[in-house]
Amino acid sequence: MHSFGYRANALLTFSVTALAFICAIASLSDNFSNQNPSAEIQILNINRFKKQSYENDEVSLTLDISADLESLFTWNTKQVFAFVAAEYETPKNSLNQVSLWDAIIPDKEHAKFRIQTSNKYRFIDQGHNLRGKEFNLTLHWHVMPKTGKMFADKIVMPGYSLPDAYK
Amino acid sequence: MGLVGETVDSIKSIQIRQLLTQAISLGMIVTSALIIWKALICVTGSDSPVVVVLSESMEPGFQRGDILFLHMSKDPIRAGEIVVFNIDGRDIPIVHRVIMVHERENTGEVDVLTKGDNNPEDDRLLYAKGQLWLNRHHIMGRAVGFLSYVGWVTIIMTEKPIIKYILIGTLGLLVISSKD
Repeated sequence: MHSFGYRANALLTFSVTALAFICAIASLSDNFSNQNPSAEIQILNINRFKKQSYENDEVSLTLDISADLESLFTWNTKQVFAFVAAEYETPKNSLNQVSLWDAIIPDKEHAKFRIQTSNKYRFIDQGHNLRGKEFNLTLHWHVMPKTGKMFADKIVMPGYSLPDAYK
Repeated sequence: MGLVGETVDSIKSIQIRQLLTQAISLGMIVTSALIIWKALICVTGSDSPVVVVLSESMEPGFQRGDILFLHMSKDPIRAGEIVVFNIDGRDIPIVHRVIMVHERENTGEVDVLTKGDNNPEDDRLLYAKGQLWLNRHHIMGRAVGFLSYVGWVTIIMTEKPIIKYILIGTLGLLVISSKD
């Protein structure tokens, strides 16, 4: 009853259970944090708008993105992954989401930022539906915890549109 | 001769009933582990409810050796979600983030493009030859939670199978030689 084997077994079981419990509590504590992030995006310029050789529209634009995501960080946050996506509708597709830019925010100090950048990923449509298209720009964020449940949310900014003719 | 005689005696003294009881308890443990695993598959709706992160393509968020909990629901796949998918012809699932979604009007079918956070390029290089998009049937689940470091046990056992054999061998010996 008191052999080394029994003691080691009991110790191991207890420590694993305790660790699992602590991880679960850490994850639960994230539900109690108040979060109110804010963001604003402006399109500075449409650089290029053309039809690719194999028939899909492509846009290149410069964005001015400013956001304050400080309130998303809790003690259990490892990083926040933020990205900006353009969302629009076409006759063939009920929803298109194209990610234009993303960034990994490792800590609270970097969470309030303003950058001007051209789109990191190519904005290519399935087809040639983009002339005069109205679209929403959404800033999404994914909070990755040190342990436990990940959660995500977004801010939708409607009202952007592309020119009526290729450029 | 004495040592051999003692060993033979101890083998003969193992009663059949005790042996059977031990075999049955071992069987019960293995079966309940299987039951829990299948129940997890049922609840999460995914063929593989827990996966181990094997590459550094999602750093610094997911390190090698982390485990991810997956869930698959009928909800539409949206940009930003971290999905686990299989490429036809490869058996190792890949965990990356969705960066482009094109969802069809009527059928609800969806074309998805993924990219690892730490990779410079999107995943078209990884897809099968001529494949430009992923569809719903490629995707095994969305990552909803994660635990660090726990996956190292699996990685070590896969990359150095000798350790797996040593472990199983020792466990087997312990079972046989324990007196209860």
